[in-house]
Amino acid sequence: MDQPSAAIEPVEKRLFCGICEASCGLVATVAGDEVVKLRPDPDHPNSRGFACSKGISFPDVRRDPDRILHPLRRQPDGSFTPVSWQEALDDIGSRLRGVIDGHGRESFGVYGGNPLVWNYAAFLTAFGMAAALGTKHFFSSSSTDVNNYFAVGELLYGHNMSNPVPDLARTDFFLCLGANPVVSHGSMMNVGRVRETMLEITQRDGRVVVVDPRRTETAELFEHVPIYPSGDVWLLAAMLKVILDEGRYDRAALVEMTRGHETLTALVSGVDLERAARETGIAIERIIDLARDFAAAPSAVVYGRCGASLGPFATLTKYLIDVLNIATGNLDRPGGWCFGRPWLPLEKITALLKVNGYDRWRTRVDGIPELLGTSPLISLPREIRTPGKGQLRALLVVSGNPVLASPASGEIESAIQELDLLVSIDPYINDTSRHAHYVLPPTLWLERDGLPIYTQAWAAVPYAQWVPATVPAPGDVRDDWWILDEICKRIGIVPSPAPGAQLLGRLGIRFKPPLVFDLMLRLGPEGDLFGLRRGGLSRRKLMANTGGVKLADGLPTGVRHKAVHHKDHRVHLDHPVIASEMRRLIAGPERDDPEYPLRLFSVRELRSHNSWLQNVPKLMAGDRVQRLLIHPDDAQELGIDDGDEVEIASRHGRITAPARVTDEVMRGSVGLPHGWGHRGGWRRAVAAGGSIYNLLTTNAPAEVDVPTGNAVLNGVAVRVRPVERIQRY
Amino acid sequence: MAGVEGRPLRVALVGSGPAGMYAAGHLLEGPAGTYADGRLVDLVDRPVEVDVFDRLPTPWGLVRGGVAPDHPDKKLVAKIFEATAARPGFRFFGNVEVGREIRHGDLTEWYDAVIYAVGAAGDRRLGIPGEDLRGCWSAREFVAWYNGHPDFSHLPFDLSCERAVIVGNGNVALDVARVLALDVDALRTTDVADHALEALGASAIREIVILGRRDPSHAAFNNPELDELADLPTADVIVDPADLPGEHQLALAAADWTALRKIQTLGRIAGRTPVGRSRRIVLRFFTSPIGLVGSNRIESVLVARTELDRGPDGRLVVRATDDKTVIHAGLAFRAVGYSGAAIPGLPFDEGRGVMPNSDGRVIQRDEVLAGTYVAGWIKRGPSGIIGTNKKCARDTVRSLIADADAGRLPTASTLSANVVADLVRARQPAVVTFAGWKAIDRHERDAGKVAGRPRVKQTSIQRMVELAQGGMR
Amino acid sequence: MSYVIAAPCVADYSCVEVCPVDCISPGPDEPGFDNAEQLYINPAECIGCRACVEACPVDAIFAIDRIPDRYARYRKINADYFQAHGRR
Repeated sequence: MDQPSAAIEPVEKRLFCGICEASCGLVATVAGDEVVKLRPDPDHPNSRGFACSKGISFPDVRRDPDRILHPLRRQPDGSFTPVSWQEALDDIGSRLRGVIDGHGRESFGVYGGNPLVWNYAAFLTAFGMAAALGTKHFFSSSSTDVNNYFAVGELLYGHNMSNPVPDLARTDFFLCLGANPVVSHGSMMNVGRVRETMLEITQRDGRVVVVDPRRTETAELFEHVPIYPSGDVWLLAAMLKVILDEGRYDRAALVEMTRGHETLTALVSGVDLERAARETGIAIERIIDLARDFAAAPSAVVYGRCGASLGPFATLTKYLIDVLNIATGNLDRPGGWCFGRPWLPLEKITALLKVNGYDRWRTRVDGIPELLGTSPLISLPREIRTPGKGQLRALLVVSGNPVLASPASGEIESAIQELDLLVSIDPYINDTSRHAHYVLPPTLWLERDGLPIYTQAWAAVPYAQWVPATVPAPGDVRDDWWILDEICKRIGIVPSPAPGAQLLGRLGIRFKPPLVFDLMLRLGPEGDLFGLRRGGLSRRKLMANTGGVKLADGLPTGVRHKAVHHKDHRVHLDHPVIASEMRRLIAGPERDDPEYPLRLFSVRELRSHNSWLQNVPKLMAGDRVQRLLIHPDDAQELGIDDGDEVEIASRHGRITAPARVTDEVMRGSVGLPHGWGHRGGWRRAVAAGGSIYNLLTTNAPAEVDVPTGNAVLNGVAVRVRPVERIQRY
Repeated sequence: MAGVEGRPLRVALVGSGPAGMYAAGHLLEGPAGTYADGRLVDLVDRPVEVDVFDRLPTPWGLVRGGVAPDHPDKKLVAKIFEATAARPGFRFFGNVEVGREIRHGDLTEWYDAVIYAVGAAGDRRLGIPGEDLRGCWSAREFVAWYNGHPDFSHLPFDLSCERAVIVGNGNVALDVARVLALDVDALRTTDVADHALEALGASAIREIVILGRRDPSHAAFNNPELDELADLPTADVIVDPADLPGEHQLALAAADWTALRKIQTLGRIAGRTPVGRSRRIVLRFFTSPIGLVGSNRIESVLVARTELDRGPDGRLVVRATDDKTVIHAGLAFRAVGYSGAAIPGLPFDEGRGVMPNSDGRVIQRDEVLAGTYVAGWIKRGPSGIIGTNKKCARDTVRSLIADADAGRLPTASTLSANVVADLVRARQPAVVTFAGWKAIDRHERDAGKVAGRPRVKQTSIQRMVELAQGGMR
Repeated sequence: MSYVIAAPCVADYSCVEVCPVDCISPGPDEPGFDNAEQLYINPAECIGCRACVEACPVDAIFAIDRIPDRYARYRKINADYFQAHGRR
């Protein structure tokens, strides 16, 4: 760490981590323009003194020698040369205008990567940009992640972003599917000190059951039920059938809270428990016991994450998760499935602006239903390569790396090279941006103001937080929203979905994101209403309390009337798309592919986040090698020894990795971490080696989650064989 | 980078124990760099090829041949070495010994640099009468024997007596005591050598007396090992409370935290009442052997009570008194420290048992022997634990890379990897490569699976070579 | 919630390399490393991130609330080390 000069007195600043959904409170020691120390904030209302090595090590990203600090233009030989912002933006603008003039606005698309949701201003501007363009080519990494959540949110509760969360602080029974909170620190829920919070469930004689193909760091602390990758949908359907057939559901809750509950029995009537046992690898008796125990617990909640979100029936899986919670009377009650306490009325305002929705249109080539105004990533190569009106010709990638992150990534990599214009906003020359005509360097979360826009409604201990930039930005980097807005200016649009925004823009009036969010905050449920509500929140007040303002001790209950957006404030359970998915599930063939007999699932790593933190020395120290986890019996059958190089082949591609023979994975399944195999200008990440997981995955619309186009990254049928390591002797 | 432009730096490493393998790991630096002075730095900025030589067909040195069989967790450290071995640029030439098939001069000719990490192949003697009586062994021999070292597997340890004496109270002494005191059933689930399992199963030894010349605060064992001894389920551990210092003496001795921790544990042990377990381990302090007595084989150990004093230079001086006693014992081990052994053609400091060196650069007649380095026990003497060698090896690699940068390596005659492989095979047709070791390893682990053990060790070099040559894929 | 280093430690210091808050001692360039019997985690500084657990090659590191009985005393030993060395 660089020594601050003696003249500079270090100061402490409070902020929160902008890497993952845990949004842990941090205290930065700042000397001059540098963060010399980052530590967890012991006083943060939700994270209460926890943070992980990724956040603490983030100053190393900030001063990474491979970080780009000036706009870059790609030369014909593939190298990059620095250019001024003016030059870069003007050329991008004129080339975009050329594309739009020739082929319409639809020919220009935007891809937003995962870090966008920790960047409220860029998030707002990117959504606004897509809306103003009216393009269907708005792609999001959520289609390799949580599109099923967004679909079920819209169907059941009337808004994509409506996301009930498990009330772990009070539950008696936590059924955790395909999630590893001890390592991930929680996703689509925001529970501070989640490991301890889960341990407390068992300490008060409750149960935590972890369903996962691997004995994860979470599973080893609790009851572990091994399940075949992507078998979750069968487990949930069978449990729901047992609960309905045996009359163990909460009829009063269903009648009071829902519409369409009478269709549930018919929905699961075709579910065969014996088949469910075969599809999951869990004995019938165990499934029945789980269902009975879950229904009998005073309070219970089932939650599922990547393992349950990235299989072939992800929307149906997520629907069944919610229905199990609802049918057992656990919705909106202590210890159950709770609506959070938002302090920004994002759901209400986006609903007013008609931003949210499902299936209002279909994608041009694949005919996949729209979701929250976005198209799924699996369609991107075909949107680029299929001629006709609306063919995608220019793409702006904001903090994303689809070449690594998207299914069938080989196809994406070649397709993006056919674009007339590819612009990437990214701190690194990464696997994707190395193909871009321009790479534009953004600020990082330590260098810009921030609020936890994505999780603000879900915190287990509700709190509000808005922090200024902790340190100034280095070099010539700019906030993403500014970059987006400058591009918008050059193509004559205002990045906003609001009616009248374009008109105001023509008059030279553009609202900056901080002002827009301050308005939302002040007029929102916790706002100061410009002085009408004493003690209410405003940007100014939060900026004076950067450690966060606690709003309540726990999740609210009894708020369904406020939280459900349907006009009748009931949860709608009867949907043709769900019934059709259930029919497809039952009619489909049993898992049995003699040619590709193993099922691959992705493994979350403690010191990695998606695909972008592999250039940090602290996070790469230790034995960081991408390895395929395989059960000893499978390994023996295949003649694989620990450490052997193996080939993993699916119907879509093949990669290699060294094997780790371990009984922590279930027989018949193999696990591999994603986010390896980098190329580009981040030297350490490239040197770390590994293979691209997504070379094994598919982008065929019929083989992914059909209702949403959500990627299938788990349960991929593969075969594994040892390969010779080339060694000179 | 003079002399190696356009080709990798080529390094020979002699010895595949922890020091050698950590040196290989640092030379084949991972993407995160090397930890030094509190941060990760890029130490090695060029491609490197490392050939690791070992005189045995099996790698990992004392991790395989020294760590006690009931310490399987410590053996897991081999994971680190396996990860190093999987990196590009690594090769293993087992069953090749410097001074046997190849000479030091060959290595300096073939490579840009040679690192010796050969450990300490000998041990210190007691220098008292009767040391060569039958039944008197070095602990090193016993350890190598129960760990299945091919050179020691034939040794005829006679465990038919009731009492064994161990002279010296370092970690090796405790390992030997523990192995003798453990219920043999507890060893049946370990990788202890088959011949040792058989002999230990028939052992009549009921008491193990461990002699320390100095006071408990200067005991050579480490605290974790003492903690473990204290918890041994099969033996009563005996410590004479009178040997333990009072608070006053402790203050005088200015005992550090580590010593205090030992005193506390020993106090806990001394305060316990023996519960009549099948074996006893007696930890004696202030006790020095005067002689080993017996007509044909050892029958007893004559010991004297000692006194400690500060010499004029402030050093602790141990003096034997006239207070002498006899301990009847049919078996005695000297465990007073390992010692390095000289390598033909290289300098050696007999007094310290190390190769003279400066920051790992071997010194001959006051001059640096260009391109020749040491790491581990042969560099600094037999001290520390496994990880101590990681830093030691890092510092040697740092010297080597600095020399490479400054053009101080003899690079003119360096041969390519392929040529060297041919030369090695010509000298030793029974060379065991890493793939060959993997075949041995697989065979041992498969045999272990049947027996409910981590592995069943091969103890014949000939059989190992057959397995290596037959099983290479 | 902190982590604790127990008896299997071989001072390989992979944990020191990955610890984001430098709370493990002695590191290789600190005094006392060459004679260290094991390494220790400062419970007052450990943030509970678990990075050391997966880095440790010999499985010597345990969560303080999940430490096996046979290593229970290492809770105090880890804390005492820093107390004795004036680091708390």
